[in-house]
Amino acid sequence: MTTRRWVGFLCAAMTATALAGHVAGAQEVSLEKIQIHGYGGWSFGRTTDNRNTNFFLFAHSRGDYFHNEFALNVTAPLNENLTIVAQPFWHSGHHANQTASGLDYVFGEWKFADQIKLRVGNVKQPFGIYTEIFDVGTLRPFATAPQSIYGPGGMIGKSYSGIGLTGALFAERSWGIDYDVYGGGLETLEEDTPLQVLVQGTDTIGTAKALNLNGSRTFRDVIGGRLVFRTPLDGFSFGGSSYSGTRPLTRRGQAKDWRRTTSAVHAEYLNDAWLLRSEIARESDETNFKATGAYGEAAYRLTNHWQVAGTYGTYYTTLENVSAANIALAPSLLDHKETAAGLNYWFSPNFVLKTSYSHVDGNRFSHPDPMTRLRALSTGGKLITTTDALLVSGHLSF
Amino acid sequence: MRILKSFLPALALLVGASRVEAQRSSFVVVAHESNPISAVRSDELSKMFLKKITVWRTKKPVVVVDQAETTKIRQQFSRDVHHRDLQSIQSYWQTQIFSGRAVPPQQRGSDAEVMAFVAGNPNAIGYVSATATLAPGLKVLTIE
Repeated sequence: MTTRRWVGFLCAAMTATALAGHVAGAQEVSLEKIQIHGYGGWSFGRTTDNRNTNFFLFAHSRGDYFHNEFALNVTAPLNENLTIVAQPFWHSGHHANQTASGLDYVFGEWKFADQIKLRVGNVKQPFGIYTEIFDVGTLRPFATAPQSIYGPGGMIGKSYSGIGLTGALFAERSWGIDYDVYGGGLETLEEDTPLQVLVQGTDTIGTAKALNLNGSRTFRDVIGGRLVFRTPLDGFSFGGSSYSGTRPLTRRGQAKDWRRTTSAVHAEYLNDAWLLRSEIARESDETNFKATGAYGEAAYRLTNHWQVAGTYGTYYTTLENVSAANIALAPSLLDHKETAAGLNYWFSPNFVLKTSYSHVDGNRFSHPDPMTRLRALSTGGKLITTTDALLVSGHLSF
Repeated sequence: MRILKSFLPALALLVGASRVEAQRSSFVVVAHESNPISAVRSDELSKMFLKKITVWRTKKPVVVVDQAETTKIRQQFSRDVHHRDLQSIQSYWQTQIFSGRAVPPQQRGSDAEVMAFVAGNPNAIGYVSATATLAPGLKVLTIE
């Protein structure tokens, strides 16, 4: 659905909310019950070697000051059963044409009971630990979520458009289960130009097809779910997520619906001082690739304000039906290994200043500008396969 | 695994018991006088204020009213009942909000406002200073 249509839906929802409040009068629905929250941030990144042409996240050799974002979250409980939630966002990137706005999600939720709630609309995808809070900087120890799973490798979706069920089972017990099941369409977060370069190889240089720079792919007939197990050890939970969907494409002379399936397991432990998180995910796409990503992340609060953090992550792609000669041109385009350390200062839980230093091996998520240099440097054997970057960011929420 | 299963509840009980004692001296949990419930478990109370439990044992909806984040009693409640500092609880609510799952309970800035809210709603639950004079229409819930 286009942004304009979603904005229309949002306006209609808000109008309905206002009308419900007006009509209900003495009922519980009132403007007082509509909650508005928000989050935002600014990020700076610079790679440490001036000769390095790689871009990693928002970092490059000249430094980039222009990454900003802001989102509003509006929750309108119409009555005990029905809630409407919407989250419009705005963000800007390095170039003027990277400014974007739209809706993260907008959906209605009907609560039959705590154990079963129906969600209809555009809903943040329940997958792993970070997908639902992907952009919220005050809920993670680094400037971004771990790239090995939440980077542009196509493992996660932004939000599904369709119908889902969610609920919490055995909430009154020490062990409990939170579940989600959903079906519909899904847009993944995906930038696969490194893979396209290897598929095309040198055979087509001079007559090379344009690279598809689109940052997402759309999947249909998606079915997915997530289970999270809460344990008697307060703060410790673990779970698994999976989804599968298809894309209608012509590949290797066949026009059909090509399936992609992604599955992951995760575990996290949170207390007042410690944050420990780890995930492993596996992605299998019938068109031509499989990928595995994993990370571990730890953060510790030294005081109420100071926090140190460290992470290691890896992501590896296997390309199928691509010649060994093409792969040999730049095998680093398949690989991403990242080690990072960070130091954060929390003014409050709603405002944090973060610094981190990342060392990246591989060019899957750290590579030259795909518009101009990626293909030439890759096929010319001149890629720089490591990248070091300093990231500074500020994040807020309310 | 067997050791873990037996050890964790015992530890939780030990920590919980000592903290409930502290809670009794600093604040009391109040409900509407018409509410037939007279006692709640400490873990149950925590789950109510985190909206993990949203109905009373009588199947009526729980309407939670919290104290403002800037108050000392809120910090004490967070420490004694949730066994977490207020920052952790605020992070919990951020996760709930931005994932579109829940929003925090309504807040009131004083004991008097909390008592007025609870007195006006038969399904409400709140907490006030142990030294506060209880308003008409309220009763104190025992923490088990």
